[in-house]
Amino acid sequence: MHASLAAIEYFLPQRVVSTSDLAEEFPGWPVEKIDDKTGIRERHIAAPEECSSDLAVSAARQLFESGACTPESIDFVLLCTQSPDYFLPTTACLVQDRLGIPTTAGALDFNLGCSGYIYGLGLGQGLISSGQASNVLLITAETYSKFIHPRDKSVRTIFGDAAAATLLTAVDSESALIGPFLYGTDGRGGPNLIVATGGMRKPRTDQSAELVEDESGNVRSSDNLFMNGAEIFTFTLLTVPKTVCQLLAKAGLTMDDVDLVVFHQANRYMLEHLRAKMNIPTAKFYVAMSHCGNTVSSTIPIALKHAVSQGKLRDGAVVMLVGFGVGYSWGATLVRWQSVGNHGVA
Amino acid sequence: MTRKQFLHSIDKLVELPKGTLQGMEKLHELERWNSMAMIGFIALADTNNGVTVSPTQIMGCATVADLLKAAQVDN
Repeated sequence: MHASLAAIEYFLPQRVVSTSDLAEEFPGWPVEKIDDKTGIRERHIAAPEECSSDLAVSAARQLFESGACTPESIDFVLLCTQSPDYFLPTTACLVQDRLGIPTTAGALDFNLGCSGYIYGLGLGQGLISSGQASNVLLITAETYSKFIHPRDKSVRTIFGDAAAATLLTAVDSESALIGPFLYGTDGRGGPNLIVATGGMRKPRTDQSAELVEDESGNVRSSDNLFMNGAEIFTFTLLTVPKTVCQLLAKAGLTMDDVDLVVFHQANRYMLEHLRAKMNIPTAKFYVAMSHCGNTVSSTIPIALKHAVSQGKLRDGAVVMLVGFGVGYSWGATLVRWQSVGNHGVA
Repeated sequence: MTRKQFLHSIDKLVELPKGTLQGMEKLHELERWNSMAMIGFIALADTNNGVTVSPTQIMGCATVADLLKAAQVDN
């Protein structure tokens, strides 16, 4: 048996922060400049009491309501988050209960950011092809906004909260519909995208909450999300083109064989630079983040869902997915799109 | 890309009129030399010269001429 990417739904919190709102808050950053750099028009921000599990449950309920599957049919929950409700218990366990998924189902969280969707697909494919599961509910859910200081425009303009729910289902197919997979890790990049305190290494203290203003006027403390944009940008330049070449070589394909390319939707500036560097035609390079921003591990499923709704994915299309970011961590895979599979699981 | 064209591109990054920068300017004296401009410079060097200039290298640059050298722009 092989895994098929059978259906995707996603959920965005109600509160919207528009680029106009941010331009008002940050004089010197006009709408045009923010739009030019980020390509993001709106970011959805979770309410104070709204956590990752709430977004996850809403996304999964939409999946069930779409008719793709029922809670009873799910036998494994994979939940990717870096902003869990609690240190423990596992968010996936809370979600299993709230969704009414059988207690016979397996459930686990995994902590990855922008590469998380690729790893989730790989884990789901492994569970299904080894016969351990038949219907895997892969959820990506983040509330990065809770880490972000309101006066840090460098990250406030980019990140939005969201959750996506993907159904991976077992199909009797001669060849794999998802894969091959390529993974990569370089922990030296850890300090370049980090929330430094709040874990066991550095608990939050009054000292860690002290605010510091950087040379660009952004304000944050060690308790907040910090991103070294220049380092992250350099990492992507060095890693993403190589990863794409290695994936194509592993699959025995060329870029001409790929119908649609969906990268992690980091920001427009980075994506456009990578696209041009790799000579990927704009027609097959899918970008869909203006309505929600960089939603970390949910950007790829959100873009895929968008592509489906825009009629960009025909049956049999080869779709390249590439995730990269915090860790550093990266991953890439190919999906053979099957609209038949997208009609749901009985 | 010639040295002159590269300088014009840096003018644009730091929001100065075309032809302003000559090379000897100190980076810390440029009002708009910030993290966004740094990312723009990394992209510029990558696109035009195929050179990946690391942020550490950039932090070691004192003047615009140092940036050109890091990006391996011919004199």
